[in-house]
Amino acid sequence: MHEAGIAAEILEIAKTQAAEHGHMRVSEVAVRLGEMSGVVAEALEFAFEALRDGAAEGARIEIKRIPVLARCEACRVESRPGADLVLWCAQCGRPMKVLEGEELTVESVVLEDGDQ
Amino acid sequence: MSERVAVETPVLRKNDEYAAENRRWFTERGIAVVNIMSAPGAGKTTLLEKTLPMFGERFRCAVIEGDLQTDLDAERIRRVGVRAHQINTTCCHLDARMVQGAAETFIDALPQVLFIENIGNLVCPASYDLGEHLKVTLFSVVEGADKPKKYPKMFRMSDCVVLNKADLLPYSGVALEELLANVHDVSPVAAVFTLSARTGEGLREWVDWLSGKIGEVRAGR
Repeated sequence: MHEAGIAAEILEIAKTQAAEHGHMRVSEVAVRLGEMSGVVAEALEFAFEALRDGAAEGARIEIKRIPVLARCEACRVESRPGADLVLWCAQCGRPMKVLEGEELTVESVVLEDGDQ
Repeated sequence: MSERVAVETPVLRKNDEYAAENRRWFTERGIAVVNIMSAPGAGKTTLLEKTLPMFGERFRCAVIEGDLQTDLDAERIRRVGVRAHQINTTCCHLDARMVQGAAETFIDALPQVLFIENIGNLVCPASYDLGEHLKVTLFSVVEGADKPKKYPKMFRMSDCVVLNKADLLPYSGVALEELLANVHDVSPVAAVFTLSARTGEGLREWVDWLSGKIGEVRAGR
Protein backbone atom coordinates (compact mmCIF):
# COMPACT_ATOMS: atom_id res chain seq x y z
CA MET A 1 0.00 0.00 0.00
CA HIS A 2 2.44 2.68 -1.11
CA GLU A 3 -0.26 4.30 -3.25
CA ALA A 4 -0.66 7.17 -0.76
CA GLY A 5 3.01 8.10 -1.16
CA ILE A 6 2.71 7.73 -4.95
CA ALA A 7 -0.42 9.95 -5.00
CA ALA A 8 1.38 12.60 -2.93
CA GLU A 9 4.27 12.63 -5.44
CA ILE A 10 1.84 12.94 -8.37
CA LEU A 11 0.05 15.87 -6.71
CA GLU A 12 3.37 17.56 -6.01
CA ILE A 13 4.45 17.23 -9.65
CA ALA A 14 1.06 18.59 -10.83
CA LYS A 15 1.11 21.58 -8.48
CA THR A 16 4.66 22.42 -9.47
CA GLN A 17 3.54 22.45 -13.12
CA ALA A 18 0.70 24.86 -12.30
CA ALA A 19 3.10 27.21 -10.50
CA GLU A 20 5.71 27.03 -13.28
CA HIS A 21 3.16 27.80 -15.98
CA GLY A 22 1.45 30.58 -14.01
CA HIS A 23 -1.90 28.83 -13.62
CA MET A 24 -4.13 28.83 -10.56
CA ARG A 25 -5.55 25.37 -10.75
CA VAL A 26 -4.98 21.79 -11.91
CA SER A 27 -8.16 20.19 -13.25
CA GLU A 28 -6.74 16.91 -14.53
CA VAL A 29 -3.64 14.77 -14.14
CA ALA A 30 -3.01 12.02 -16.71
CA VAL A 31 -0.89 9.16 -15.43
CA ARG A 32 0.49 6.15 -17.32
CA LEU A 33 0.39 3.10 -15.11
CA GLY A 34 2.00 -0.14 -16.23
CA GLU A 35 0.35 -3.41 -15.27
CA MET A 36 3.64 -4.50 -13.73
CA SER A 37 4.28 -1.19 -11.95
CA GLY A 38 3.26 -2.69 -8.61
CA VAL A 39 0.68 0.07 -8.14
CA VAL A 40 -3.04 -0.68 -7.84
CA ALA A 41 -5.07 1.77 -9.93
CA GLU A 42 -8.11 1.79 -7.62
CA ALA A 43 -5.99 2.41 -4.53
CA LEU A 44 -4.15 5.19 -6.35
CA GLU A 45 -7.44 6.87 -7.32
CA PHE A 46 -8.67 6.63 -3.76
CA ALA A 47 -5.44 8.09 -2.32
CA PHE A 48 -5.36 10.84 -4.97
CA GLU A 49 -8.87 11.94 -4.10
CA ALA A 50 -8.16 11.87 -0.39
CA LEU A 51 -4.94 13.87 -0.64
CA ARG A 52 -5.63 16.47 -3.34
CA ASP A 53 -5.42 19.99 -1.97
CA GLY A 54 -4.29 23.54 -2.78
CA ALA A 55 -4.06 24.14 -6.53
CA ALA A 56 -4.95 20.50 -7.16
CA GLU A 57 -8.10 20.50 -5.04
CA GLY A 58 -10.85 19.08 -7.24
CA ALA A 59 -8.36 17.69 -9.79
CA ARG A 60 -9.30 14.48 -11.57
CA ILE A 61 -6.85 11.66 -12.12
CA GLU A 62 -6.93 9.94 -15.50
CA ILE A 63 -5.17 6.60 -15.29
CA LYS A 64 -4.04 5.00 -18.55
CA ARG A 65 -3.23 1.36 -17.92
CA ILE A 66 -0.37 -0.01 -19.99
CA PRO A 67 -0.27 -3.78 -20.59
CA VAL A 68 3.04 -5.63 -20.51
CA LEU A 69 4.90 -5.75 -23.83
CA ALA A 70 8.07 -7.83 -24.10
CA ARG A 71 10.56 -8.36 -26.92
CA CYS A 72 13.00 -11.14 -27.64
CA GLU A 73 16.36 -9.51 -28.32
CA ALA A 74 17.47 -12.49 -30.40
CA CYS A 75 14.61 -12.98 -32.87
CA ARG A 76 13.01 -9.52 -32.37
CA VAL A 77 9.56 -11.02 -31.74
CA GLU A 78 7.34 -8.81 -29.60
CA SER A 79 4.53 -10.21 -27.50
CA ARG A 80 2.08 -9.36 -24.76
CA PRO A 81 2.62 -12.09 -22.17
CA GLY A 82 -0.80 -11.67 -20.56
CA ALA A 83 -1.70 -12.66 -17.05
CA ASP A 84 0.68 -15.62 -16.74
CA LEU A 85 3.68 -13.34 -17.42
CA VAL A 86 5.93 -15.86 -19.09
CA LEU A 87 8.90 -13.71 -20.08
CA TRP A 88 10.50 -16.30 -22.34
CA CYS A 89 10.43 -16.20 -26.11
CA ALA A 90 7.95 -18.74 -27.48
CA GLN A 91 10.03 -19.08 -30.68
CA CYS A 92 13.62 -19.42 -29.51
CA GLY A 93 13.30 -19.93 -25.75
CA ARG A 94 15.48 -16.98 -24.77
CA PRO A 95 14.61 -14.47 -22.02
CA MET A 96 12.60 -11.48 -23.18
CA LYS A 97 13.09 -7.83 -22.36
CA VAL A 98 10.13 -5.88 -20.94
CA LEU A 99 9.51 -2.82 -23.14
CA GLU A 100 6.24 -1.58 -21.65
CA GLY A 101 4.18 -2.28 -18.57
CA GLU A 102 6.37 -0.86 -15.83
CA GLU A 103 5.38 2.79 -16.34
CA LEU A 104 4.59 5.06 -13.44
CA THR A 105 4.69 8.43 -15.15
CA VAL A 106 2.83 11.73 -15.06
CA GLU A 107 2.04 12.15 -18.75
CA SER A 108 0.29 15.54 -18.76
CA VAL A 109 -1.71 17.97 -16.67
CA VAL A 110 -4.61 20.24 -17.55
CA LEU A 111 -4.14 23.67 -16.00
CA GLU A 112 -6.79 26.33 -15.56
CA ASP A 113 -7.00 30.01 -14.72
CA GLY A 114 -9.36 31.50 -12.16
CA ASP A 115 -10.70 29.90 -9.04
CA GLN A 116 -13.24 27.53 -10.54
CA MET B 1 -8.24 29.67 -20.06
CA SER B 2 -7.29 26.05 -19.91
CA GLU B 3 -4.29 24.26 -21.35
CA ARG B 4 -2.91 20.75 -21.39
CA VAL B 5 0.78 20.63 -20.61
CA ALA B 6 2.91 17.59 -21.44
CA VAL B 7 4.87 16.58 -18.32
CA GLU B 8 6.39 13.11 -18.95
CA THR B 9 7.89 12.90 -15.48
CA PRO B 10 8.44 9.62 -13.64
CA VAL B 11 6.40 9.77 -10.46
CA LEU B 12 9.35 8.57 -8.38
CA ARG B 13 11.85 10.93 -10.00
CA LYS B 14 12.87 12.43 -6.66
CA ASN B 15 13.59 9.00 -5.22
CA ASP B 16 15.46 8.03 -8.38
CA GLU B 17 17.66 11.13 -8.06
CA TYR B 18 18.52 10.25 -4.47
CA ALA B 19 19.19 6.66 -5.55
CA ALA B 20 21.56 7.77 -8.31
CA GLU B 21 23.38 9.96 -5.80
CA ASN B 22 23.62 7.02 -3.38
CA ARG B 23 24.91 4.66 -6.06
CA ARG B 24 27.61 7.13 -7.07
CA TRP B 25 28.61 7.67 -3.43
CA PHE B 26 28.77 3.94 -2.69
CA THR B 27 30.62 3.10 -5.89
CA GLU B 28 33.25 5.81 -5.42
CA ARG B 29 33.99 4.40 -1.98
CA GLY B 30 34.12 0.77 -3.08
CA ILE B 31 31.03 -0.18 -1.10
CA ALA B 32 28.95 -2.98 -2.63
CA VAL B 33 25.31 -2.56 -1.63
CA VAL B 34 22.82 -5.44 -1.51
CA ASN B 35 19.09 -4.78 -1.10
CA ILE B 36 17.27 -7.78 0.36
CA MET B 37 13.51 -7.79 -0.11
CA SER B 38 10.79 -10.25 0.90
CA ALA B 39 7.42 -10.61 2.56
CA PRO B 40 7.43 -10.42 6.38
CA GLY B 41 8.70 -13.60 7.98
CA ALA B 42 10.46 -15.04 4.93
CA GLY B 43 13.73 -15.12 6.87
CA LYS B 44 15.73 -12.05 5.82
CA THR B 45 17.31 -11.52 9.22
CA THR B 46 18.05 -15.23 9.68
CA LEU B 47 19.66 -15.35 6.22
CA LEU B 48 21.86 -12.39 7.18
CA GLU B 49 22.73 -13.90 10.57
CA LYS B 50 23.96 -17.03 8.77
CA THR B 51 25.52 -15.33 5.75
CA LEU B 52 27.55 -12.61 7.50
CA PRO B 53 29.79 -14.96 9.54
CA MET B 54 30.52 -16.99 6.38
CA PHE B 55 32.25 -13.96 4.89
CA GLY B 56 34.69 -14.18 7.78
CA GLU B 57 37.51 -11.73 7.25
CA ARG B 58 36.87 -11.38 3.54
CA PHE B 59 34.64 -8.29 3.70
CA ARG B 60 33.90 -5.70 6.35
CA CYS B 61 30.09 -5.64 6.43
CA ALA B 62 27.36 -3.44 7.82
CA VAL B 63 23.58 -3.77 7.75
CA ILE B 64 20.74 -1.26 7.50
CA GLU B 65 17.56 -2.71 8.97
CA GLY B 66 14.12 -1.45 8.03
CA ASP B 67 11.05 -2.16 10.14
CA LEU B 68 7.89 -0.40 11.17
CA GLN B 69 8.68 -0.85 14.85
CA THR B 70 11.44 -2.12 17.18
CA ASP B 71 15.19 -2.53 16.74
CA LEU B 72 15.04 -6.29 17.31
CA ASP B 73 16.59 -7.04 13.92
CA ALA B 74 19.51 -4.63 14.38
CA GLU B 75 20.14 -6.28 17.74
CA ARG B 76 20.22 -9.72 16.13
CA ILE B 77 22.76 -8.53 13.57
CA ARG B 78 24.95 -6.94 16.26
CA ARG B 79 24.96 -10.26 18.09
CA VAL B 80 26.84 -11.83 15.17
CA GLY B 81 29.42 -9.03 15.45
CA VAL B 82 28.31 -6.82 12.57
CA ARG B 83 27.42 -3.13 12.75
CA ALA B 84 23.76 -2.39 12.18
CA HIS B 85 21.61 0.69 11.92
CA GLN B 86 17.87 0.39 12.45
CA ILE B 87 15.41 2.52 10.49
CA ASN B 88 11.89 2.64 11.90
CA THR B 89 9.38 4.04 9.47
CA THR B 90 5.63 3.90 9.05
CA CYS B 91 6.25 3.54 5.30
CA CYS B 92 5.73 0.14 3.71
CA HIS B 93 9.16 0.33 2.03
CA LEU B 94 12.54 1.98 2.39
CA ASP B 95 13.33 4.85 0.04
CA ALA B 96 16.65 6.19 -1.19
CA ARG B 97 16.60 9.18 1.12
CA MET B 98 16.21 7.01 4.24
CA VAL B 99 19.12 4.87 3.07
CA GLN B 100 21.27 7.95 2.53
CA GLY B 101 20.70 9.04 6.11
CA ALA B 102 21.37 5.56 7.47
CA ALA B 103 24.54 5.02 5.42
CA GLU B 104 26.00 8.21 6.86
CA THR B 105 25.94 6.65 10.32
CA PHE B 106 28.75 4.31 9.20
CA ILE B 107 30.95 7.19 8.03
CA ASP B 108 33.64 6.66 10.71
CA ALA B 109 34.45 3.18 9.38
CA LEU B 110 32.86 2.58 6.01
CA PRO B 111 31.93 -1.02 5.21
CA GLN B 112 33.02 -2.83 2.07
CA VAL B 113 29.62 -4.48 1.81
CA LEU B 114 26.39 -2.86 2.96
CA PHE B 115 23.29 -5.02 3.25
CA ILE B 116 19.91 -3.34 3.34
CA GLU B 117 17.16 -5.43 4.85
CA ASN B 118 14.06 -3.83 3.42
CA ILE B 119 10.65 -3.63 5.10
CA GLY B 120 8.83 -6.97 4.89
CA ASN B 121 6.53 -6.49 1.90
CA LEU B 122 6.43 -8.31 -1.42
CA VAL B 123 5.02 -5.36 -3.37
CA CYS B 124 6.10 -1.82 -2.52
CA PRO B 125 9.88 -2.11 -2.01
CA ALA B 126 10.19 -3.21 -5.66
CA SER B 127 9.26 0.29 -6.82
CA TYR B 128 11.98 2.10 -4.91
CA ASP B 129 15.54 2.17 -6.18
CA LEU B 130 17.79 2.65 -3.16
CA GLY B 131 21.05 3.05 -5.05
CA GLU B 132 21.99 -0.59 -4.44
CA HIS B 133 24.14 -2.68 -6.79
CA LEU B 134 22.33 -5.97 -6.26
CA LYS B 135 18.70 -6.76 -5.57
CA VAL B 136 17.83 -10.02 -3.89
CA THR B 137 14.31 -11.36 -3.46
CA LEU B 138 14.00 -13.81 -0.62
CA PHE B 139 10.96 -16.06 -0.69
CA SER B 140 10.07 -18.79 1.74
CA VAL B 141 8.78 -21.88 -0.03
CA VAL B 142 5.82 -22.12 2.34
CA GLU B 143 4.38 -18.89 0.91
CA GLY B 144 3.11 -20.93 -2.03
CA ALA B 145 4.21 -21.80 -5.56
CA ASP B 146 1.89 -19.27 -7.22
CA LYS B 147 3.24 -16.10 -5.58
CA PRO B 148 5.97 -15.23 -8.12
CA LYS B 149 3.21 -14.94 -10.72
CA LYS B 150 0.98 -12.93 -8.41
CA TYR B 151 3.73 -10.51 -7.32
CA PRO B 152 6.02 -10.58 -10.34
CA LYS B 153 7.70 -7.20 -10.13
CA MET B 154 10.07 -7.89 -7.26
CA PHE B 155 11.13 -11.24 -8.73
CA ARG B 156 11.62 -9.75 -12.18
CA MET B 157 13.83 -6.94 -10.95
CA SER B 158 16.08 -9.10 -8.83
CA ASP B 159 19.57 -10.31 -9.65
CA CYS B 160 18.99 -13.26 -7.39
CA VAL B 161 16.01 -15.12 -5.94
CA VAL B 162 16.66 -17.10 -2.76
CA LEU B 163 14.06 -19.73 -1.88
CA ASN B 164 14.30 -20.18 1.87
CA LYS B 165 12.88 -22.68 4.38
CA ALA B 166 13.57 -25.63 2.07
CA ASP B 167 13.58 -27.80 5.21
CA LEU B 168 9.81 -27.17 5.47
CA LEU B 169 9.04 -28.39 1.95
CA PRO B 170 7.84 -31.86 3.07
CA TYR B 171 5.23 -30.22 5.33
CA SER B 172 4.21 -27.38 3.02
CA GLY B 173 2.25 -29.05 0.25
CA VAL B 174 4.26 -26.88 -2.16
CA ALA B 175 5.86 -28.53 -5.17
CA LEU B 176 9.37 -27.09 -5.52
CA GLU B 177 9.42 -27.77 -9.28
CA GLU B 178 6.28 -25.67 -9.75
CA LEU B 179 7.69 -22.82 -7.64
CA LEU B 180 10.99 -22.91 -9.54
CA ALA B 181 9.15 -22.89 -12.88
CA ASN B 182 7.11 -19.84 -11.83
CA VAL B 183 10.21 -17.97 -10.66
CA HIS B 184 11.89 -18.86 -13.94
CA ASP B 185 8.91 -17.59 -16.00
CA VAL B 186 8.77 -14.12 -14.46
CA SER B 187 12.45 -13.68 -13.72
CA PRO B 188 14.41 -15.18 -16.62
CA VAL B 189 17.86 -13.85 -15.70
CA ALA B 190 17.96 -14.14 -11.90
CA ALA B 191 20.25 -16.62 -10.18
CA VAL B 192 18.08 -18.92 -8.07
CA PHE B 193 19.12 -20.70 -4.88
CA THR B 194 17.08 -23.09 -2.76
CA LEU B 195 18.28 -23.27 0.83
CA SER B 196 17.41 -23.34 4.47
CA ALA B 197 18.96 -20.48 6.42
CA ARG B 198 17.94 -22.24 9.63
CA THR B 199 19.64 -25.59 8.95
CA GLY B 200 22.40 -24.18 6.75
CA GLU B 201 21.57 -26.50 3.86
CA GLY B 202 22.40 -24.85 0.52
CA LEU B 203 23.90 -21.73 2.10
CA ARG B 204 27.37 -22.28 0.65
CA GLU B 205 26.23 -21.93 -2.99
CA TRP B 206 24.43 -18.66 -2.21
CA VAL B 207 27.41 -17.24 -0.31
CA ASP B 208 29.80 -18.19 -3.11
CA TRP B 209 27.58 -16.53 -5.71
CA LEU B 210 27.20 -13.42 -3.56
CA SER B 211 30.95 -13.18 -2.89
CA GLY B 212 31.60 -13.36 -6.62
CA LYS B 213 29.08 -10.63 -7.36
CA ILE B 214 30.38 -8.40 -4.57
CA GLY B 215 33.88 -8.84 -6.00
CA GLU B 216 32.63 -7.78 -9.43
CA VAL B 217 30.88 -4.70 -8.03
CA ARG B 218 33.90 -3.64 -6.01
CA ALA B 219 36.20 -4.15 -8.99
CA GLY B 220 33.94 -1.77 -10.93
CA ARG B 221 32.66 -4.40 -13.33
